[in-house]
Amino acid sequence: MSLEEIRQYIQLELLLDETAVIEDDEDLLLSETLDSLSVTRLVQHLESTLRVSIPPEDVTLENFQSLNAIHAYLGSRE
Amino acid sequence: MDFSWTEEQNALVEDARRFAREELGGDVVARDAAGTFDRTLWKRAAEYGVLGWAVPKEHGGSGHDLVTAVRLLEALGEGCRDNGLTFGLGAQMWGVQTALLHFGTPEQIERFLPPSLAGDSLTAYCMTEEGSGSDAFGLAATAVREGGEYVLNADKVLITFGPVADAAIVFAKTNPDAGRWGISAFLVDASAPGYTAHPVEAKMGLRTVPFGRVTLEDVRVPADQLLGKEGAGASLFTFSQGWERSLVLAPQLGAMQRQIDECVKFARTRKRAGTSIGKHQAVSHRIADMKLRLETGRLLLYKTAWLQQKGLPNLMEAALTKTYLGECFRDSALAAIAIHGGDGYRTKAGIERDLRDAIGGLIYGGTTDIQRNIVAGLLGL
Repeated sequence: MSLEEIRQYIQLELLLDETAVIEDDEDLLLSETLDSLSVTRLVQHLESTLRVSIPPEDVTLENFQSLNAIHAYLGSRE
Repeated sequence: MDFSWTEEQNALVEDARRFAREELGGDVVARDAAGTFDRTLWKRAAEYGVLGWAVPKEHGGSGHDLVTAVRLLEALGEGCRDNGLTFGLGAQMWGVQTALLHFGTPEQIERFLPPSLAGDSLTAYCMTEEGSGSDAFGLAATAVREGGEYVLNADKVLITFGPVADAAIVFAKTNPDAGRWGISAFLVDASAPGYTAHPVEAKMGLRTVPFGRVTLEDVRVPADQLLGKEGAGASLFTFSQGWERSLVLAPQLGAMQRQIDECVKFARTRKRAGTSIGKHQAVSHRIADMKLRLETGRLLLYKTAWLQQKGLPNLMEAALTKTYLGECFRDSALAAIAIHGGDGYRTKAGIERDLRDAIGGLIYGGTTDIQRNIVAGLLGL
């Protein structure tokens, strides 16, 4: 999944704002851009789309703080 | 879709119902009035294998699939009139054991799980604080790393088994600047210096399972008792709450079946002007609605358990189950009181206790308002 596809899912499905600007390195978690339910939905979306299992212990700041972090984490799962 | 059960499953369920009726009885009215937890009953349930129903065989459980396990818990709730006891068993199974099995190291599992399965050790799940209920991650507890240990300071409230627990899973901030992402979970011995279990708190219902405050003052916890990675506490909490939300109300289905049986019996035998009160639609319709709640709640619970067993997403179903079963039990408990009239209102009959016990199900494990927030969020709102 490309970084752009992740960005679009967050914009359209989680923030309900297609015009929202999300920079690649912008913090998504500490800023509360994504709340806990949004993170859970994102994980489920990634799992179903990519047909991978994301263990709950991997849902951490390190792996999900930004678009770049998520993309890198998913790359490490391939 | 196949709704049938195997003969083996039916035999297990029948025996669980018999066991609960014969072995987990006692004077629950008196225990409820006194707010007493009966550890003998807990041990008896453990020896029967209840705490291991959903634990894999390689870890000492019986390894039942989750649909079978919830049906067994349903039978337990039908046979056992002590809703506090069955709630406590569920809290231990879904909140504590799943967290330990999924996040624990082999050494942690080896140390903490066997005594839990045997009923020899109770583990408190210490998340809630006075300032953080539904805002669960807004906690103030801290854990500071010092060499090979963490130093924990925490003030936890409304902790199930808090006053009597032998161990605790304690959530605390290891990185205070990182909000919920800086929370970690620790396995803590209740005998550790600085750990204080405060007295049992009085509450509306579920009085036979003790709730209370737990405080930790400079409790030193070895680093190898960190449960999961540092900073994974929020994920652990979300994970175990998902299990609890999905499955903890299973015994209430059994209690609802028991209520129906008792209401039908009462309505058939109680006469007014020579006629059974069950012939009056004001009574019979109430019981029909109780049956409707039971059957629809059962379908929702089984589906949620089936999804959980398959490892499929069930966030929506779990939130619906928690909300629906909680509210169904409350409504049916109220109906049972209305049908029994004065007898339902008197404490000694044990009918009003179900209503008091049911209210807790609307609050613990995430309030019904929070569950509706989840449902709405998943619907894209």
